[in-house]
Amino acid sequence: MSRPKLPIALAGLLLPGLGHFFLGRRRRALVFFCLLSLLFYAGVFLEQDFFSKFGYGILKSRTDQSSGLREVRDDLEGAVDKTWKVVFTYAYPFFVGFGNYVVGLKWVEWAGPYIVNVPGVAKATEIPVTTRDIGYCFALLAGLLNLLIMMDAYDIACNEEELERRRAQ
Amino acid sequence: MSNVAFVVVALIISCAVVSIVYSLTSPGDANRVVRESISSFVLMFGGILLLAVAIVIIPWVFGR
Repeated sequence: MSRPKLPIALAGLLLPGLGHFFLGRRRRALVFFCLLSLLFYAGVFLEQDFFSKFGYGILKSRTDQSSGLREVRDDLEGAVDKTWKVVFTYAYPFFVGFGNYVVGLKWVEWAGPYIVNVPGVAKATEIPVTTRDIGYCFALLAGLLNLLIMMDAYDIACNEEELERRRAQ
Repeated sequence: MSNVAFVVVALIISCAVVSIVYSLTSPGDANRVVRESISSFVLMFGGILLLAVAIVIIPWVFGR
């Protein structure tokens, strides 16, 4: 039976590994979900300003957020910076799985004060740049790996019959 | 745990996650996943360490 390939692959935009789950690869889907979710939550925990990095996010209106230095510097940004800002604000929440993105917002509010237990962090308001950069890398890595997983789900959906035939041999 | 140790642990976690996802998404026998994960982790982590060492050694050998 032919299944809709693209919707299965794009299910990963909601949660990492959801495409593999629909394809019947449940164990693999669970591993992907746990790994990428943990990586994303660790990332946003270490980089506390992740969700407000560019002044406003997809879940908060512009008026909800204070205007910091970043907004004042808007006119100094080049085309690459501006493109990345748009991708980060509107596309990235789906790359990492929108469900995870929403939960991550609450997770940061809840776990934020515990950042002082991380080595090198003395105060919750003064997180070293190294620690923040590691968090940023973790969160971005989770998004990129989810794209790879979605492509893999699409590949499996396209070649399902061939894979079944090989497994039967 | 010092700051350097924290960075190294972060690097190990990143490499481990990438290698596991890579091995699970690559076509092939499911029995190969563990072996493929380990080999890709060693290659990735070793490569980054070599690069870091080279960044320190090259200016030392050839001068700044």
